[in-house]
Amino acid sequence: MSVAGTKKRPAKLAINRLRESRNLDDAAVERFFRRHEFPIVEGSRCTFAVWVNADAVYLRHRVVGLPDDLPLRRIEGTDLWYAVVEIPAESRVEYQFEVRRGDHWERFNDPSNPRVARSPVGNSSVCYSIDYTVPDWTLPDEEARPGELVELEVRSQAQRRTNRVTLYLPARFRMQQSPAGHAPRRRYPLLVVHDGGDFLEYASMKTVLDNLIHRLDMAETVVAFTYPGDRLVEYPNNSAHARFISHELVPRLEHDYPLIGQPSGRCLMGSSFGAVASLSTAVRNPGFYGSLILQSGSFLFTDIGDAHGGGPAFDPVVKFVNRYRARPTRVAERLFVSCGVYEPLIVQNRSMLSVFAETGMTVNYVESRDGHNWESWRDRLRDGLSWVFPGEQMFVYE
Amino acid sequence: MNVTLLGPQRKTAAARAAVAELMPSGPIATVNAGWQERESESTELDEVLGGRMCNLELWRRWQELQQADPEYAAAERRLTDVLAEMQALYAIRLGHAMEAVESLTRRNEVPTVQQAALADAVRAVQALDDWHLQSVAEARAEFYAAVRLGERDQVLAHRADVDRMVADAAGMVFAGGHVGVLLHVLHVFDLGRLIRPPLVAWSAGAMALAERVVLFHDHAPQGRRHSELYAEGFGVFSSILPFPHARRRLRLDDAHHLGLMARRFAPRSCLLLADGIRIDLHDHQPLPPGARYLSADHGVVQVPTAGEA
Repeated sequence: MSVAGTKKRPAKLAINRLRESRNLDDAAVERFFRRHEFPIVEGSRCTFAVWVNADAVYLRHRVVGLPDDLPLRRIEGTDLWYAVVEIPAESRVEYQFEVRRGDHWERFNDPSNPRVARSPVGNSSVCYSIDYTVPDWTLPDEEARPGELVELEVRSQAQRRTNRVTLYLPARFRMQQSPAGHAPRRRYPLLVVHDGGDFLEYASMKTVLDNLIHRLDMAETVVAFTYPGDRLVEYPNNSAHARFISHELVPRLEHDYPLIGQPSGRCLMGSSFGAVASLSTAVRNPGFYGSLILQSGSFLFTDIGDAHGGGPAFDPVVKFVNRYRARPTRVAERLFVSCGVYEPLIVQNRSMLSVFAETGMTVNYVESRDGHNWESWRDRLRDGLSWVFPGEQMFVYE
Repeated sequence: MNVTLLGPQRKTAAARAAVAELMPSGPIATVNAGWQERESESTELDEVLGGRMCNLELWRRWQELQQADPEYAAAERRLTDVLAEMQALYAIRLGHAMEAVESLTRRNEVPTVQQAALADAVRAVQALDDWHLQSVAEARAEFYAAVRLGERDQVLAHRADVDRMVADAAGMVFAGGHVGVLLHVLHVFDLGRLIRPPLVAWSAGAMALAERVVLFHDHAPQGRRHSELYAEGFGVFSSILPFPHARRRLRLDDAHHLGLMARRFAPRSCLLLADGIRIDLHDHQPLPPGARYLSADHGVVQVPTAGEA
């Protein structure tokens, strides 16, 4: 019987009951794996376990606060390795096992855990601690009318190339314009998403948009998913990138589609380096965007010296963030900022809040018990999108 | 004016019973323009009304007007933009004003001083609410003066059509939906002069017929939001503000929050319209027994029924 998701903490952990059993043979271990979901969640204690022949086994994760080297213990006389980790309620933790056999190291997902998080750099197993559930608005809902994805090619003089843009048009989107000289019948807000392909692929963003719009949580919005070239070069405060977004992409979309075309109807969004790109683009065009959604921004900075610990890719980020922190400017009316408390960037993100606020920008900050990953960013989409472009829930009383 | 208000019609028994009792025969002039694109999907509603629904189709008529008259459509667009901006700016001011009220409630070292300051802070919120309503009314008045609805042939034709349908009806029903759209189309077709009992309204329909329309949602996904005045309603009944879906939309377990709402909207009563409830309001009469409303001191209270009095 599975104990995952139950709130009552049993007197003894399942792993300890197994350890104390009399006949601890392969059949008993096999039964143990068959009977439980893994990791076994018992209250705040999560038991990670793997049945493998090895000299050592480690739990690999990127949770700030847990030891980097989290070794699993072997139950004597078996090949069952385990570790019990305290993980607070409502957490999501991505992890893998790493085993050593002699000089050979191997890393793999938890073979007993079907939950896998996808990302551009590969898949990981996921542990849902007690009380965490995947938000229902991230899952396909057959009641929600699907929007349409349209592929565009947008020529950029600034970047001297043609950029791919995937445009999301909400289900009831109407292109119609009134005759010349008159305003279009209906105009839509515009959201520009950095790393757009990844948001679509790994954060279920098309499904999320369909659902949030259907539920009136967010306004019917046109969304431009952009694709970077070399994001490590383009995203940390790059003038050509900023020109492309603000002087080429947005004006073209506002010309071709019935968009609001005012700051209140424009939002830039990104996660990690994409958040830096959003902020730096807005800094170069203050007042052009009404809102920014900055998820787990890679806002590395230094207070003294050059040692930021992020590697060379972060040098331009640090330069930009240091400069912004020295002379913060009001770049938009509203900022939605989110970060996972298990991320290495949590301190930097918290540190930016007062900097943003002192410029007079309205800041909505949300933390989650999660890491620097796409499902964490997916899970915060409703908070951000419904705040930036709220739907008509306040108006509808069926 | 006598009017019967109903809770949200997830279960339609209350509407079915009220209509059968108040309008036993004849066509029923029905407004469900708040459903917008779904206005015509009214088979179930017609069944609730005993197959006697006479849908005024105000949303469909409004769409036709805009399709046929680009100048009018553009004016509508401008009005929408202006009202949205007014609502946004009002919400910003309201946020600060309510923050002041809530800060004062937390500081109570000298109660008499605190009470005086709090009362004045609430009056400031009320003044802001009044100012917003007046501004919105003026913007709407300017719109109507500019577009001269009463001089446009197509509008007049639709209005005449609607007049006939209402004149032939045994009563009127106002369903829920988008309260802003509903309120607007009622104005466009000048329905205010046609509203007469017997009258049944629920959800957004009930809100539109009140003196004032209050938007509220304590559990909105974007986080806590203060209740906002939206516009003046048709004032079919006085001194009462309906709050449908209260259980789903209000923090009913927070007496302090509810008490502040009661004080802010006083002297009007905040009437909670739960699923299945029926409230028969009679001209200039207090809330009937069984009605639940917000009290400044006790959160949700109920008008005693005969046995309790």
